[in-house]
Amino acid sequence: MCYQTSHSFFSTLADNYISATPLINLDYSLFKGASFSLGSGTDEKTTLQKILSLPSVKSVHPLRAYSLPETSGYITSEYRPLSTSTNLKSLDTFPDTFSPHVMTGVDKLRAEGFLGDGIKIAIVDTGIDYNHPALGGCFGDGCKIAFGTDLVGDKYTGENTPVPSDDPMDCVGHGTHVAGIIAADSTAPEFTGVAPNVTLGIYRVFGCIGSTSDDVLIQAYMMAYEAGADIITASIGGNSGWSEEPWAVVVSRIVEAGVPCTVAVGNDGGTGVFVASAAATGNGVTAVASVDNVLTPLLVKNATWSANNSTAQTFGWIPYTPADIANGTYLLYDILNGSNDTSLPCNDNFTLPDISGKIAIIPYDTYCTDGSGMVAKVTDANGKYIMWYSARAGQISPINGTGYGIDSFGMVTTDLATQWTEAMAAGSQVSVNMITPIYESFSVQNTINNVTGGYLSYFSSWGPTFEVDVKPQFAAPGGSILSTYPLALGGYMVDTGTSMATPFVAGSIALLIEARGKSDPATINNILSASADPKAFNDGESTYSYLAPVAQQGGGLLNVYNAAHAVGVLNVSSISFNDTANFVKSAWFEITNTGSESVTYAISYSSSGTVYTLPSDGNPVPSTFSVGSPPEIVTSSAQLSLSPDTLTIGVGESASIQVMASLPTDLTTSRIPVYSGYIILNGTNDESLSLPYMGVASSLKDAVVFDSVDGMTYLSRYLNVSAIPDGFAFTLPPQNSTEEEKEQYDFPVPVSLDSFGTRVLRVDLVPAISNSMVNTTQVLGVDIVGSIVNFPVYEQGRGSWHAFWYGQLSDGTFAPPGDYYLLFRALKIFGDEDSADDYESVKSVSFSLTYASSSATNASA
Amino acid sequence: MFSTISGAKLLVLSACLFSSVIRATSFGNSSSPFIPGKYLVEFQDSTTVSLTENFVSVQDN
Repeated sequence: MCYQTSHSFFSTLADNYISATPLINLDYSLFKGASFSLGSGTDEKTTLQKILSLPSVKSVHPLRAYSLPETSGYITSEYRPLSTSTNLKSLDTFPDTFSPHVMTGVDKLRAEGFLGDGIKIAIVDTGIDYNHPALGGCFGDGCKIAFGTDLVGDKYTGENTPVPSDDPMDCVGHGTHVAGIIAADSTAPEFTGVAPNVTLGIYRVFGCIGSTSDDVLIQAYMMAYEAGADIITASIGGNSGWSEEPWAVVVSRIVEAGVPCTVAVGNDGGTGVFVASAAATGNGVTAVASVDNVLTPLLVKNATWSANNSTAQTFGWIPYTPADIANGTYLLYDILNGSNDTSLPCNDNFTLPDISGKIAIIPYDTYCTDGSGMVAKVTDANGKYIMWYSARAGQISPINGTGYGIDSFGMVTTDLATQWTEAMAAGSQVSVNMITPIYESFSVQNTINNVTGGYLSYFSSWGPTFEVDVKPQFAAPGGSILSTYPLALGGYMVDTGTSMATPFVAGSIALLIEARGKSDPATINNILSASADPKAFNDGESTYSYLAPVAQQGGGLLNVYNAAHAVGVLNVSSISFNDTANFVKSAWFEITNTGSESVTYAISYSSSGTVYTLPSDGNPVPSTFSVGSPPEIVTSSAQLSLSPDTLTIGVGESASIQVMASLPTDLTTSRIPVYSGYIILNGTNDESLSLPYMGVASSLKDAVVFDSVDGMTYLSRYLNVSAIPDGFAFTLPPQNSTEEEKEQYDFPVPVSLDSFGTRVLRVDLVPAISNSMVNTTQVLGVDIVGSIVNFPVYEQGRGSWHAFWYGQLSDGTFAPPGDYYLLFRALKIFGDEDSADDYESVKSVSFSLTYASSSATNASA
Repeated sequence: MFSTISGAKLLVLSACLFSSVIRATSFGNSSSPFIPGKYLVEFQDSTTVSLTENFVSVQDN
């Protein structure tokens, strides 16, 4: 069969009088297709059916928009030029003391001379500031950033037409930060990238604002693949839980073709279990979780302080906006006046004496009023300067306090502020000698993170997929990471997210390939997973006695040195026992001795915490995770039978191990417990390998999608967001109304909070009276007028949605006036799409529907 | 209030996932939203790599 090309496809459409506007041609070796748009007046259903009926067409899928993963929680986002006087290092760097490298054995591997030479890593992101001196200062052949392109242009938002260019300059900052994590060289003060000698490519898929879409991402991946990238990385994603989204499928194909692809698992840890992002969900794709840095780097301004004119001591402070403080000496004023009671300012009668010319010292994290109320108390006392303090200084978003009557906002650590307030309480006058920030460069001040450092970041999204594929694969440092930033935005920045952990893994794979030679992506994942270090669970405040669930950390924190020197190589990266309905009774894995002498392994296992997806109160909406308040985790878990439990493997030989799981009987299966743990292989060569396993101790087909008990799936109306009463009468806008005109009407709005994901989600219009004269079609056992426009939809993750409905059906026609109800239907996990019994359904109340006349719209408009 | 406390930020994000509003012309914020009127087509024989057919075709009611 001849290959269809996008050109011949659009010619065929024209020959068949099918109107579609070409968007992006995707004529690549692993994906041949195209994207197109249909005009607003198009009968989309009929048009798509015609397109699907063409023999050359395999499938059609609506385009999705994807965003950069939003950081959540402990956000650190200070971009500052660093002082050039700070600790410039040589030879990229030996010894490597950058804490993320030390945490992961990158320092030791680099000490052996592995720096990523000869490896090409392609980044799919917002572009890179290739002028940055730490990133080579140029773009093109011979440069560190040697290949790639701009696929979209500055003005692309994800919804308009991309305007490609040859210039992948970064106007956002994200891609430049990612690039520095991989490959910044020793020109950067205080740090280098994981693999500073790699060659980078950049495929820019974002404009200066907004999102990107499937077709652009597929184009970027295919171009990177065809450019010969050894590794492709993207810190991009969207809440999913499914492995079949088009972008995820294409990434899986590239992995299958031999190129490792790392993708961020997402920053939705706060929403609990089963929220892995696409394309991290793809089969074989390396989904990366985040661990907090053991040191929190602060980009600070330096100043000095003294008590009663004692010897001046240097300190660092973080300036916010505004930070207009003149050079000079200022007395400090403790707003709590020596008290530890941070609620004192909450008292309505709380006032301050005149503090003009002084800097008010205020606890940041705990106060009763909003911050502006606190600021008002300072300005009422003629104060113009505020220095907040927080144990999380540097982990807090940039603050813009313009317009509050304060000339300068800043922040210091609680430790420093405590020294000041204790000195003041003892009767000392504490003064600071400030330097106007604009006249001084920033420097790095590292503080030890002894609360979450080295543990999984609580924002890091949890797997598994809805079909119990193990996600994430493993974790890397992503919380509080110093890296490069566009020169126009300051040059350096500390940022946080799985976006930062993901390029770290890409760089680590480069070192691994250099050290061990090229392997297929599956083997690379197997080695990295088995040599990773499973971490104890930490809820953002406290560390627990049990290991964090595999759903949060996969194999654990990467150890690149151990991976490079691994002797025992497993043939899997994890084991999924699936749910109880699809239970894998017996799993096997194989270990191969790649060393130079026989090794005897003792094989055991260690359970990690079992996480309940749902809360204990019967609510079908999964538990969320806020700092100090995680989903319930218990220690009851599956018992494993391992056979054999010890074995000796000769040089170059392999052996198989059988794993059988017995599920615990004391778990509440209705709460969807996700159990997990690690099979441990301790070798006589002092090697310790761990293989993560996971399963669900209930049937996911029983998982509830629509929370009908709490009435979370219902029909609302536009002008009053609440469930409508039975018999409500809608008057819809005329069918030719503009968007502006439509908004003047009180039209139907189907609303739902989906507790779980679904592969197929339908909203169908059904006559309220069975003998209605309206034409109907039976679909899944129900006579429907049609699906509302844009439905059915596929591969939906957890979360809420609503749709504004103006009467149009998915076939492009408009529902005739009459009495109806909406039927919401969601395919259960593992359900059969063609079986009505496998759908969960909710009926809305009945409503009547009519259309306003065009003259009415014209009059009201 | 102009300050941002991270815990509060997380709660805001969580609340967004479960209560925020879908844009007027597109479906969904529970997943990456669909872009109205725009489609991806894949041609037959597009790959020599052995993968399960994964794309969901547009359904016929």
